[in-house]
This record gives sequence, C-alpha cells and structure tokens, in this order.
Amino acid sequence: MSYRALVDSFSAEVDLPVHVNQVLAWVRENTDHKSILLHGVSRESTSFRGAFRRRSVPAGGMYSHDHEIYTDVFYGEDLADDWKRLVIVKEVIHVFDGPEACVDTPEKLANLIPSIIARQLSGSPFLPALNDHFGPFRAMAVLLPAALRDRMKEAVDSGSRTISEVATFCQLPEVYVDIWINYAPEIEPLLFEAP
Amino acid sequence: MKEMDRLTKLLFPEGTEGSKVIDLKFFPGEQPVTVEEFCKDVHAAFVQADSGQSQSSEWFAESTTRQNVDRFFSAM
Repeated sequence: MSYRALVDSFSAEVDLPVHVNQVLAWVRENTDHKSILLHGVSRESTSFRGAFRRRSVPAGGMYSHDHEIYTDVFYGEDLADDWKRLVIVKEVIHVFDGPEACVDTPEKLANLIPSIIARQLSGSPFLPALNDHFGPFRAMAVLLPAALRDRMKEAVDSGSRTISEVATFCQLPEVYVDIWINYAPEIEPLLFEAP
Repeated sequence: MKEMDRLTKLLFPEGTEGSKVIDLKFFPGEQPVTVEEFCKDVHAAFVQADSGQSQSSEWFAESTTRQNVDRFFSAM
C-alpha cells in the first residue's frame, strides 16, 4: 500500500482529531511494517523534535535470507501533545519513502543533517532532505483531510472560526494548521510527487 | 566533526551480522543549532532508546476524544 492509499483511507473522516493510533493501525495492517515502537525521549536542548529509524534485521536461521523490519519513532517527551501527534505521524509516514529518498549510509547522513537544520533548501538537491521538508505536510494531509480542511477554511474565511480554534479542535500545531488551510492547493500536489 | 562521527558510529555500527539501517529521518527543533549540537542531542536520544531508558510503547496515549466536526461548526 502507498502513501496515497493512506491519505485516501482517511479522506471520508468526519470525526476529529484523527488519532495517531488510527494511523499506526493502518500502517501495521497495510504494510510490511508490523514492528513500530514509539520512544518518548528527553531532550538536552530543543535542537530536534523527532526522529525516525528503519532497520532490517535477519530473521530465522543462519542460512535464511528472511529479514524483519523494525521501525523506531522518536519524539521529545516534553513536547505539547499537538506537536507529539504531528511529529509521530510525520515520522511514521517515512515507511513509504522509496530507496532514493532513504538515508542508509554515513555519507547520506552527513548530507542530510546540514540540509534539514538549515530550515531551507539550498545548494544542489538532495532527495532525502527534500523528502524530510515535505514530511510534516504529508502528515497534515492525513491528520486534517482535504474535505474537512476545506470546510475549516470556509469557516476561517467567513470569520466564524479562527485558525487557533481549528488547531485546538484538530489537536495540531497552529503554525502548520495555518499553512495547511491557506496554502494546501499549492502544497498538496507536491506531496504525491516528491520522493 | 566529533559529534557527527560519534552519531555515525552509533547509527552505523560495524559487525552487526546482517542487520542494517534502511532509513533515517529527523524533525528539526525549535531553535537553530549547529550540526555538532544537533548530532550531540540526537545521539543522546538514540542512546536513551537503545538502552531502554526512553518511554517506549506501541501506541500513543491520546489526550482527546474524537468528535464529529458538525459539533465544531454548529457551535458557531
């Protein structure tokens, strides 16, 4: 199953917030990623909010070629719940990343980190970094599905609801709700094209 | 690049008998940092988790109850 299938599966949602556990259950049921562990970690500083690690570990006997996939999702235990929700879903959605978007060597890791802490894309394109920048919006597409997002935008534009109220109802960070409600038409097509 | 080297050794250890990293990704934090500071903090987080000192679970403890969006709009 693909990222698009995940988004589609939540497209008719009428209850909010979409819970993190709904997304985890879908991923476990519809992909090879059965072993997903969430780690709430204490942060020495606020340099990162979360992380994702996917590992292949040999299963069976010495001559077996079987592997099991272990997925670890890290989030700052001090984060507010709305941030925890976005971080966890953003990270777990990386199970859909294709080989070209994956960081599986020390060289790629050394390339990724400067690209993502700069908070802007610069220099020659590095696909895994591009993918990481799109990550939070891929999560937003699941946590605030398009149909409901459009209804929320109508309410915000008419002045009957504020972005802050929508964010509270959806249990998502206000800054991302603001961008997602106001700029989704520009962002959305890129989520399905980017690596 | 001391912290980058230390993080690399932790995430790509030698002699893992077939176990290998498929992918790594990160969500940047609230404050701008250097690569070394970032690597140091991320290293500490992975050590916590791998040594069993993190709060680990298969599911997330939500603090909210789901509600039909019509309730949100009808309260206008």
